[in-house]
Amino acid sequence: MKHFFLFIYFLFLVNFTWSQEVTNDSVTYTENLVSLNDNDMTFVKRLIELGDSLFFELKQPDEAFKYYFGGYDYLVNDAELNLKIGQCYLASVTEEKSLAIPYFLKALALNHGLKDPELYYNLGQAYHYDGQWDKALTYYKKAKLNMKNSEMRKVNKRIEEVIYGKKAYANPQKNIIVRNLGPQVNSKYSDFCPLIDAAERDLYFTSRRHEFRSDNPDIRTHLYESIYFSQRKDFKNWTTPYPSGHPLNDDGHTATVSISMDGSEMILYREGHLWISYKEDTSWSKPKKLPNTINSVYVETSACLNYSMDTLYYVSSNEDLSMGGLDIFMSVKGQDGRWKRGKTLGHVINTEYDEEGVALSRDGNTLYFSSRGHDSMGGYDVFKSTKDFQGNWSTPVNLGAPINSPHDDVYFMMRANGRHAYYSSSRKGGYGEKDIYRITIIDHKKEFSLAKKDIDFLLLNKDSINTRHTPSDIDHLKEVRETALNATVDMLKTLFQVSTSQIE
Amino acid sequence: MKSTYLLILITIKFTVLHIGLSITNCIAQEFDAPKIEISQDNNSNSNKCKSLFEVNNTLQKDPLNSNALFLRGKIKIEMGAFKGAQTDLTLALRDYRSKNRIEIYYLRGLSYYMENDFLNAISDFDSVIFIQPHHIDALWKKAQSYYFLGANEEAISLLDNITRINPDNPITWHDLGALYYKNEMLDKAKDCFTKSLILNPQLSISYNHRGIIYENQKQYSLAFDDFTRAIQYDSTYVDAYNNRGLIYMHFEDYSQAESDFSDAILHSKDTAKEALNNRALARCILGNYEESLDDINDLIDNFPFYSQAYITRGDIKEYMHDDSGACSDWQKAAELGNLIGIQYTQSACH
Repeated sequence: MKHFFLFIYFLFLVNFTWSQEVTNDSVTYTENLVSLNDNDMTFVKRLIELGDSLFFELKQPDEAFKYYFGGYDYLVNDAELNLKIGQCYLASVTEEKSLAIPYFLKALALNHGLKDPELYYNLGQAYHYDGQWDKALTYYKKAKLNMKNSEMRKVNKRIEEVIYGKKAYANPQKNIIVRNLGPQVNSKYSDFCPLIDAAERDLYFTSRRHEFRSDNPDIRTHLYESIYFSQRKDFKNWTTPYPSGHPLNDDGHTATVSISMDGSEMILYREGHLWISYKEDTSWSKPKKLPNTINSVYVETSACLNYSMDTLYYVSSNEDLSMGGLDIFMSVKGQDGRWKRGKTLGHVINTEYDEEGVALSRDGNTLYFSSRGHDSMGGYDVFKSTKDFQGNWSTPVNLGAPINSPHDDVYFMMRANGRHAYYSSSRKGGYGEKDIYRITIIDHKKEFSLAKKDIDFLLLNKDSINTRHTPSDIDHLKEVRETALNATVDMLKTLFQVSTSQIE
Repeated sequence: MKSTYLLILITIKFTVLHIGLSITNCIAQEFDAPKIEISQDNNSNSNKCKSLFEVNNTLQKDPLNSNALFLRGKIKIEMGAFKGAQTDLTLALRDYRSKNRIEIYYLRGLSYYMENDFLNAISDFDSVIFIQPHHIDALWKKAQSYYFLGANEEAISLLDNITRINPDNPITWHDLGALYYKNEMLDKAKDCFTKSLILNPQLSISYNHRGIIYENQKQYSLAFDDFTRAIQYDSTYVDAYNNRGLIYMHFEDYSQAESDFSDAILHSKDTAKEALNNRALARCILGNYEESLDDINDLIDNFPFYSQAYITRGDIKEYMHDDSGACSDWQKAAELGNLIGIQYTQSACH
């Protein structure tokens, strides 16, 4: 019976601690609110074990939080629990990753100088996500000192990312304005891969939101990806998104991939492959799977068509042809109207890391894609590469800050006019895991419309007949002096009033 | 008997005295006529009319009285009747013995100048300068005439001459500096402003204008110092606040820039349109879009034909991702003849 009441108490505590907020690097911990005997501590440990199984075995960090925080008040000085909570934040899809910092710092303080490379690495990651480049670099370097050789590549990559990120953030492109589409479109779940028509009125995007759940279920396993549709009301307001009906969505995962420039064809992701649907008046046709020359036994996730709709760039994990992870491929439509077998874009574009979210400019000569390789500053970054007259792609260039961040920035879609783009990012300050953003690119040569008066004459352009230029005639500075005198008198009056009020 | 004698005596005395006074008055009227002075009170039209009446009386008796013609010309100029003044002064110049020849030429030049007949004005001012080479007023008016004719180099030469004749006038140095600036001779302009500041170290306008030159030469710290000095000597100097705000904008200290623009707006007697435009931009860059729009809308309400304000409002709307609103404003600026508006409309509004 005693155990039953204790369990009820724990459940209450779980809800209470879940709403705790950690704001600064230093956390104010309440030391052992309740003392428990050894027997009762087994329940606390049981909670932690449940959290462990959710986090490490079932890979559900957002669920594990609840159990870890249930036991946290009794184990506030447990270095391992602090480390786990920090790692949960890093792996979470709903929480700010930078909230992990105070827990890692606490774990580091409790470790009493024990050089744990994993902790240093995690702390480096937390600072990295928070954009604190110098601190991130310090902890990555500390981690590197004690890291196993097998993991050295991982740390070196992070160090490169931090170095690039610091450089990019020091020189942000001021002509680029990134704006969140707002809570009308974005939810606390993942909203990504925006597809917009030429007039920027109709927006299709993928969301993992669930309309009828108010709790916080694990997003990775519990929620399906579905295509949502919203329309622009004015320059900042959008209609409430609603899921596109059948046949675009079905009971499984369905995600937006790409829309043709005229808005007549939409490529979808479903069951690990690419599908295509055609617009028929106001509705979409039943999606058809793209041929096996494009879809393989592996996973195809992203694609885009050129303006003439005879070249398809797509992303595949085809291990036979890939350089590692997801790579970008190209397929050309033959004279018979069939897609030919895809070819990799080669080592200039593809890296041993993942490439994702491929898109083309209107003229088909600029390829936008996201990559975890190249000069990424963390997670996926958006890159662009241009095609020369021989069809060779240039070395990809990172689009830099503020478009890219240490988080995932992906599914970049440039509008035909080249001045606007849409993409999804999991950067700090959003409404959920990934949010949809709109980018305005202002001409970098454009100057501020600043106004100032030019130098004017005191007398030369004045035409009064009474003006005398001999020094003794008129005091030309009279007006200037009068204004200065008035200002002084005003100041003295104010001083007098202030001193009088102080005396009173 | 005694009282009768006394009455007769008093009557005789008054009669004699009256006759004597009447004679004196007549003589005085006759001799005082050429000495009529125009009232120094320029606002008193009744005095001018009285003087004109008296001069006209004299000229009825002696139509070629050069002194009276000169005086009537002078009165006519003050009353704005330039053509009549020119006729009188031309007649007055026929008297070669007149002592007022310099002033007659000067006044006739002035009447031409006021009618924008600068070539005739220059000719008369030249006559004055020929007789009296150091006549500063004539030199000034001649320089002004050249300036209005667009002959800046001649104007510079004349002002330069004036500074040699009278080197202690800070106004001349200032205007010479401004003229050099308009002729894109920035270093000479800077030197002139410096000279005016040596003569009058509290001349805030010269600090402000020298600051503008420093800013043009990209010497921002010196420009900043000069604008600050201008504000120090005149804490209500709107343009200096605005210019210092622009320096802050250049160094991306938008909060300080906003503060300076606010001071400029506060001290301006009218709507400080430049400062209002700039504060709107600073607030936009700081992300205060609503306040920014309030400022620029206020400016447009007061100056509906100020095309730059529409450019600025378009830019602000572009920052707010309101592209159609931005295009509409740039279009309006273009309609008002602003070339930037045309350029933006063509490049961004499809």
